[in-house]
Amino acid sequence: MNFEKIVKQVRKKYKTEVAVREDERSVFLTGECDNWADVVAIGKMFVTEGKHVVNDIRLKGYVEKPERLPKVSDNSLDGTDWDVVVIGGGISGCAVARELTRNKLRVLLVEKHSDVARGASGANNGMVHAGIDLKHQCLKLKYGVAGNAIYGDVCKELGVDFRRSGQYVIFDSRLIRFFAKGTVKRAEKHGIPGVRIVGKKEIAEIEPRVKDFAVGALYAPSTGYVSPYQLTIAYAENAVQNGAKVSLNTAVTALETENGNVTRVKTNRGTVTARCVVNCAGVFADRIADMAGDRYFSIHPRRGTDLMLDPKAQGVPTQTISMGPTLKSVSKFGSGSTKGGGVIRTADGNYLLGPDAVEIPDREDVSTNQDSVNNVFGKHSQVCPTLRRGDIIAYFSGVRAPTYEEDFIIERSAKVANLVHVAGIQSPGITAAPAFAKDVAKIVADYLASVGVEVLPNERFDPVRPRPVKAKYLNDEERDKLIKQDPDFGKIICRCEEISLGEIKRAIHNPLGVATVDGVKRRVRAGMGRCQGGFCMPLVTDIIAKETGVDVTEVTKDDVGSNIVVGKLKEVQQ
Amino acid sequence: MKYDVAVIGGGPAGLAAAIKASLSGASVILIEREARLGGILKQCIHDGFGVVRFGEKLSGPEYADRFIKQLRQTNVQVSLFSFVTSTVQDGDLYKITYVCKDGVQHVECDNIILATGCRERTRNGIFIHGDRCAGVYTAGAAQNLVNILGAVPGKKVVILGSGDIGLIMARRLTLEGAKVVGVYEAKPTPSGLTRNIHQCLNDFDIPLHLSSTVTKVLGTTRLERVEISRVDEQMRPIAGTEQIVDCDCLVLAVGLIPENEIARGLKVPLDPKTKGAIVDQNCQTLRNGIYACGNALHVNDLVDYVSESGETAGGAVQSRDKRVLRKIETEGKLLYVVPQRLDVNAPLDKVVMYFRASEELTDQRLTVTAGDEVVFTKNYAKLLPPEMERVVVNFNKAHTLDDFVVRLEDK
Repeated sequence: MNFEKIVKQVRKKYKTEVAVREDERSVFLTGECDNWADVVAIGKMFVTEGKHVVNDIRLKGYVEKPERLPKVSDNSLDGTDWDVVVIGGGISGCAVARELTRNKLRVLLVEKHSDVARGASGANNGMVHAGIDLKHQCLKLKYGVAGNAIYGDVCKELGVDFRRSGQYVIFDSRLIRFFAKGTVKRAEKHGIPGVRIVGKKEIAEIEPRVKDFAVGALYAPSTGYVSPYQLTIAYAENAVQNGAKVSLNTAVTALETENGNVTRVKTNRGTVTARCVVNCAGVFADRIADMAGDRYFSIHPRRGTDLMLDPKAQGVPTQTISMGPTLKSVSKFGSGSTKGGGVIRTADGNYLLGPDAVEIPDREDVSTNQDSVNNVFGKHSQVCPTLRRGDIIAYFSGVRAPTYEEDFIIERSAKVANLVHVAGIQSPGITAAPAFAKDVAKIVADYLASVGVEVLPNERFDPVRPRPVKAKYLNDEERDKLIKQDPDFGKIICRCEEISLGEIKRAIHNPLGVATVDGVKRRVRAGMGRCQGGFCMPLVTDIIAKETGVDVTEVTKDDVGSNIVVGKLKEVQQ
Repeated sequence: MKYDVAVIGGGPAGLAAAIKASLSGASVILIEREARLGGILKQCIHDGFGVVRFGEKLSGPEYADRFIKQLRQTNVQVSLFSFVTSTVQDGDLYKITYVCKDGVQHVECDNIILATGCRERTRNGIFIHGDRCAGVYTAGAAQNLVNILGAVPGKKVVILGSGDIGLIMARRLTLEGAKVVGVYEAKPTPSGLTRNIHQCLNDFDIPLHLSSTVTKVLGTTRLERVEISRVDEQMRPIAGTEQIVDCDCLVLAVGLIPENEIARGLKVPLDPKTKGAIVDQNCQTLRNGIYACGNALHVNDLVDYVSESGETAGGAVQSRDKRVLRKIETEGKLLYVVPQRLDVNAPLDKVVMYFRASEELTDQRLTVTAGDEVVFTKNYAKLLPPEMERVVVNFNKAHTLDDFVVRLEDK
């Protein structure tokens, strides 16, 4: 294809020169820009049917930070041999690992952080999308709709709370309402159930707080809400239950290839061999591909910030309402880089506002800033003026991993026979993962069979991961019975979220062996409430030390090196 | 079980309330969520408690112990490690459900005294942006780590907030070998008691930086640096004034918020200024039979007054007279006044009133009026928002018991 015209446009608009090279799979860009938004915008200009963009345009003066590797180095994995190595413990990697264990395979999942769900899977709003925003056939639509359809069953099997309470996308003008009819028709065509337009009167009754604003809404009843990190954890635990090994604090540092196959996977914990490697590395997926000499797409990190409101906040839309971000213009609907969630009631009963979408050069920069907080709050308080800034109890950022084509890449590598890419997984990745994980497991099994590995069903596979006890939600009789069996369930440690010692102890002794303060928080919500751990953090730290038999100085907040305290009394010297 | 009174919270307010209620002849249950009585006093091992009440400088645990010993002499039923999960009204009765190691428990009572204390404002609550590293703690959490767990949260510490807890922690961490780089305060004046500025900072050469705040935290696993900015009069950070300070621990002493979850559940009206319940002079809220005291009512700076309000509530629960409530208005530069109502059918000769000035003021006169009559005046050479003032007013002097106003004005 001739890119001369686009190069000219770039020259005119961005005052910079871009060099273009292409091969059968990708368009490769090189050049230099003064700001990162331009780098990304130029990359998008070169998106063409059937090809990926590899964007090597540099940001002037920017030196990319080296990947933050775990502060661990040992040989605990060295010399081990696996049928499949899955790289990355986000929702994709954990779901793929679990689906792989349906067969009798030796599966190793490596995750560089001290827990799973530490990237985008742990920092999004947990919306299980209906798929109404997707216009064209693409993998996002295929797996998004398929994933949504099986979500209830998957969450039931894995013991994770899921609420399918629908989504209202509010319109602020009649014109948009008119265009929404097309969206309803499209949804029908795509097999999205029950999508309809609700009138001004109905929406005012459902959600009086938006009545001055809304002239109607698009209603998608199949939208649901899940705790994305709890589902990721559940997938990982179920994988372990069924025989997979999850190695945390483990980063892939190199892939060795021979005759078009990955032969050895090097990590900070030793070198392992594998029949097949699955790349679920999120924002690092293009780097992993590069390590195997198979660089044909680029990930451009996109940061989103969500604000969490006190579940007892007043003036927040009632639970079934969420609002689309692009209310002012239908032309933007679905074409923006975020579907924007809106005001969402999470599976845990909190309210979330956001996210926004900011292109950033640093793949691991999950820091928060004033602009994002202001933008997110400003946007949603316009729609719902009764929201109060003072009700924000926490906010967080996650970095999503889109490709320039803005679609998932789920395929076996064309260059490296035993490498499968699960890349570009961004929204609706949480929705789609249960569906595409099944296909990825099939791609792996078919490949292994094709090279003579015997793939037999795992007869001991148990799809059920026991649901963790949530004492707060039991009725008095059930709770009383539980406490009589184990008095620890009557001892409340986290007062904001009403979490008992019994629940915390079980969280500490989880199948993944994660015994950190934030690990406990992600599993049972201790420290997630109004006081943000002010009261329970020291208690949880102490309980972890006692339960795992380590000194309190060894307990970490999260990753290795994030110790809560620096020493014991009388031992600290300046 | 049925009690006359259920006291929720076994800190200084709840202890005083339970003792007093029991001594007045009521049957009392004291429900405490922690394993031991004393509330936050358990971790306040510094001295200075009880100067007003006992004329001595006690440590927190010593102060609590005096009340705990007294409590043991009464018939108060104490239920420890017990967490209230629901409170509902049923006619004239309140039904409380709580969980403890023995299971789910139900009690009924005529009165509830809320002595649930307060919680600390958090990093997110004041919008300190940046990384998700370890080493950022509220002062109370840091105090717990040091005084209960026996561990040091950092070697090089920045403290944000010059409230008393921040100052106490600056000294405490210094004594434990940490270097306190500085105490930063967004306000132009210190927030803590003057005596603490001297005893905790000046005596240890710890610098206090006013009109400055922490605007960002930086660190991958543990805290490595903080960004400090100067702030303008509205306490907004001034762009261009940022400076980076190396540290491995940030302690936040940025304010306390009365804990009123149970009050909210019982639909007890709250005062937006105190963030505690609206009460009459007996600490009874606008809901009959529900009382609030201590830091759940308004954040005190001396424990002596926490105990006092507990006793006021505990001493009033046996009264069966019908209340006639009148509003107490405030005028002038007052942050708040407690009580906000006067029960004109209850004793009026010794009404204890607490107030705080809204800013640093000199040569002020406090006047309490009923209609056109002045019932109380007091002059103040200096008033500081961090220092709560207490006056005792005899409203019996007034001929008309209505139109009450508390006014603070230039002398």
